[in-house]
Amino acid sequence: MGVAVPVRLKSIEAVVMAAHGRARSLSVDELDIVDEVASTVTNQIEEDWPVDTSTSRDGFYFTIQSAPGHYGYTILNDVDYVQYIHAAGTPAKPELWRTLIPRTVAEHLTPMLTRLRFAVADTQRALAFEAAKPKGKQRLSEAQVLSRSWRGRKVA
Amino acid sequence: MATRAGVTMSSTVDIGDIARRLNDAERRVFVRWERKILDRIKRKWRNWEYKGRPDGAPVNVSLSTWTSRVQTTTGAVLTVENLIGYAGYVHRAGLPSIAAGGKGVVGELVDEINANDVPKMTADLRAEVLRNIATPRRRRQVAGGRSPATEDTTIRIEA
Repeated sequence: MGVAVPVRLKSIEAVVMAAHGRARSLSVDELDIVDEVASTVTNQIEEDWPVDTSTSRDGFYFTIQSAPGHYGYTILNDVDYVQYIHAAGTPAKPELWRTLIPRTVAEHLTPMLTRLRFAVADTQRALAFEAAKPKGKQRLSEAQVLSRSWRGRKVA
Repeated sequence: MATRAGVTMSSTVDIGDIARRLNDAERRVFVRWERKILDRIKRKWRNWEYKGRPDGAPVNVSLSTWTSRVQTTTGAVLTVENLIGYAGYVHRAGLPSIAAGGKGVVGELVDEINANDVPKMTADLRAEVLRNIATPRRRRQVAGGRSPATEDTTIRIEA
């Protein structure tokens, strides 16, 4: 059966909608933040996972959702008995994945959201800068702005 | 004729004849390299021209679909993949397309990873295996093939 824990960043979707006026894809800098946190969360889950054959531990991976209006990441494990695993000496229910994964996600949520809000502000500044360039000046399209990293770059 | 060209890259690290799974310390070394290689790919997979793409159309789609996994139960296998149907065709503006004999971004990445990362990853992992070869490890008991999660085995989090 496997397990899945999708983490949807509705608050960031709302921030982008308010700042941009419509939904847009995550920029590269925003994606990097989600990616880094998803990776950290996955690694931490693996570190805390009980090991016997380690097949179930190897089965953890994440995917990222960055489409306009739908941001987040999903922690998955497709090993078909993973949902039954519990640490030795603990009761069979609740199963380990039901507590460990949400707890690990929660530990990293608030700092990620804070970083993302700053990153969204930087992206919007870059978009506004390009949009305000006078005609005749080379201007990056919205897609090109979102596909570049603006971290550490002074914009306007 | 349209074809799909997702990408799967696998590297089996030669760590000698150890007939056991990697232990925690060895696995950590391997996972660090997994992360480095995936980061290298993602850093290169950006700064697209998106010529003619209308404002509001999704972007960075194929960037977000790169994933990686390790397998450490028998030896050490790293798999990095992007199953989006056009990943294998991606090339930089101004360079030849795959159809015209160009390498594409994936081809460049394979060369870079093989030249820069695979030898160092192999050396690091071998060093860790040798360091641990005589050290017994504590094992933990755990209760109980592959298939996707169902609604019963999904927890949704919103923030």
